[in-house]
Amino acid sequence: MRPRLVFLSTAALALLPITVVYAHERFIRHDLKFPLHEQYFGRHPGVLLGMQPDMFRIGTISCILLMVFLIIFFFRQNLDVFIEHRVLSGLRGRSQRFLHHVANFLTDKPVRLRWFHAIGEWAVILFLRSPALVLMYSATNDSLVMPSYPLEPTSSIYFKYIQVFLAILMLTQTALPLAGAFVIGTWIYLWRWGWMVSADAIPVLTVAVMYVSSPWQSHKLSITEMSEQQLRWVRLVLGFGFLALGWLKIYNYHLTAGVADNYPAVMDDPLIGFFAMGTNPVFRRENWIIAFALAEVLSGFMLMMGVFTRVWGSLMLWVLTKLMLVNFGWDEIPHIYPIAATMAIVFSNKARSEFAFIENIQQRAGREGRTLLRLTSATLASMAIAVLAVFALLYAFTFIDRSNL
Amino acid sequence: MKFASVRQVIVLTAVTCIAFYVLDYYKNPQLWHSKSVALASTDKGPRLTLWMNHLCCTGCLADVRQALARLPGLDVANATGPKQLLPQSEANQPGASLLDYGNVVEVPVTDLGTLDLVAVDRALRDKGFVAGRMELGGVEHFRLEAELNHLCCGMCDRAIHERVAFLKPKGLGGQFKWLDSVSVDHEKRMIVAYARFLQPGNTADVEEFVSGLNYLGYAPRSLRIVVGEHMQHTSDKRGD
Repeated sequence: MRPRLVFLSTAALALLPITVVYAHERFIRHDLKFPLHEQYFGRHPGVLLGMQPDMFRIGTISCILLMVFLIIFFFRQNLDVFIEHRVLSGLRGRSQRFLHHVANFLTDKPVRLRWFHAIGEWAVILFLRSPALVLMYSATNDSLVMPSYPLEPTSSIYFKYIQVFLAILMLTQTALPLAGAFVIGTWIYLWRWGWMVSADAIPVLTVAVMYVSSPWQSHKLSITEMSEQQLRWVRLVLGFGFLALGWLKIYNYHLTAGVADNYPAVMDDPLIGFFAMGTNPVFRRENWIIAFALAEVLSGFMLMMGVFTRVWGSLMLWVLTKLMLVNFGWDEIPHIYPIAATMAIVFSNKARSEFAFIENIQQRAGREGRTLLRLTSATLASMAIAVLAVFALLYAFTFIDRSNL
Repeated sequence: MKFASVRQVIVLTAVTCIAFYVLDYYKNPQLWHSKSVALASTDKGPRLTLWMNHLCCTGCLADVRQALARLPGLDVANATGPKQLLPQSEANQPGASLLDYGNVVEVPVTDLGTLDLVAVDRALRDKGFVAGRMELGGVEHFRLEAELNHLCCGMCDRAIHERVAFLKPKGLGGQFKWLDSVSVDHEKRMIVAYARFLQPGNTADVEEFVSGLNYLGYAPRSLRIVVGEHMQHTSDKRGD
């Protein structure tokens, strides 16, 4: 048990700093200072998958990491039994209860603590209202939804009033389904600026899930909890948002490289180097883009599918808060919203996984004493999921010429 | 407890979205038509597209041409104006009106080195016009060099740095998308604005920089376009 826990926490900590500049390239300077090796991102006949060997290597490392996390997750029930009956059996009192709660937290099981529940309730309140602060901030900065979508002076006044109206609905919790429709409608309108802008704004839809599924007379209610369905959709949308942002970094690699050109220190992170280990230094910036993007893809995927939701959610909370308060400062203040969304997920006791059916197969095989089937099903499923999650799009992108983006 | 039906949500979403598009289309005509103008400019060499907030008839166009005629660096003879412009006589009729009185004049740039954008702005104003936008296209990488008469102390320099940094996110309504960074040459009394790479078909509104400097309290004496140097791969530079 101990080595596993140590591995889990080490892996989690190892991935922590590489997420530091997650999804922030729109808020910060991202102009490209030097050209990239464009051929790196295209087809390479004669090599495996026709992919640039360094790109393939980074993909393989990410794939193995995801696979390991999935295998551990599929055996989490056994892990739990092991903790409860072996590790904690020798302990008594406070220390036993403390470790029991920690184990429940890490394995996405309900944490029955009053303060934990209270934070969860507060997080839902913050999640429901924080978009109003972001809208107000954007309105005062002549932008729509986020400061990175500036408004034209000729129409800004109308959009600003609309945002203030929407913010009032949110703050007073009035007609939330209407507010939800407004948010979704605004997001669709962002397609007017291109699909990449809309993809960048997917996290905005997270709160719309809550709004449209709230009653019309929401102003009369105290909404402090998410239902199981609401939580599932919030997790799916938020996780998908991060996943999409990760893939967007590879698709629109000029923009990602632009961040590195303006903040070269981000490339010197040794932990990103872990993903890019053994790669050709001539393609340093190109390798960094792939490594950085796949780290975000992994975290988005795990959050979306409910694999160690709390662990990944906590990492994202730490990263987003640090970015807002330390790294980029006031410009990142709209991140109050994703912080609130992530908090609401982390402190919920209704976490479920989209891969529960694989766990069920594995457990049934365990009850029937079919150990080989257990191990095979969990390993093969993890392998298939990891390969599909990492390589499908990475491979597809090599066929698309993005040099003019 | 009454919840919203799927139909209600879809209808409300569609109404919101359509309303935003309609608002955008009617209030921002310059955005909906700028792409076609910009694309038309591709491969034609450097061009200056002047968005005149008022240019309603052939009389206005003639005055604009006259204003620009004596400026070096511009090929006014080959300037293309709006195709369906009312003749002055028709525009003079009682009741003659247009949905939008603004129009576009596209002027080829023959010599970037001699073109002075402040002179363009001043010449138009002297004739009674104001260019809402001056969009430069067909130049991949450039910088703008604004010469000032006044730049007396270190605080003048710092004010530019600090307030440009303030202006960029505020953006006077979100402009300056083309602007990368700004530097100040105190000795030459010059402010240099470095532009980002301009993709083919895209344009940079250089008028934003003039109004930005005015907003900061500076009136440039001249504003010239200097074509940027060729870039190298970082690995080439390091000799990897």
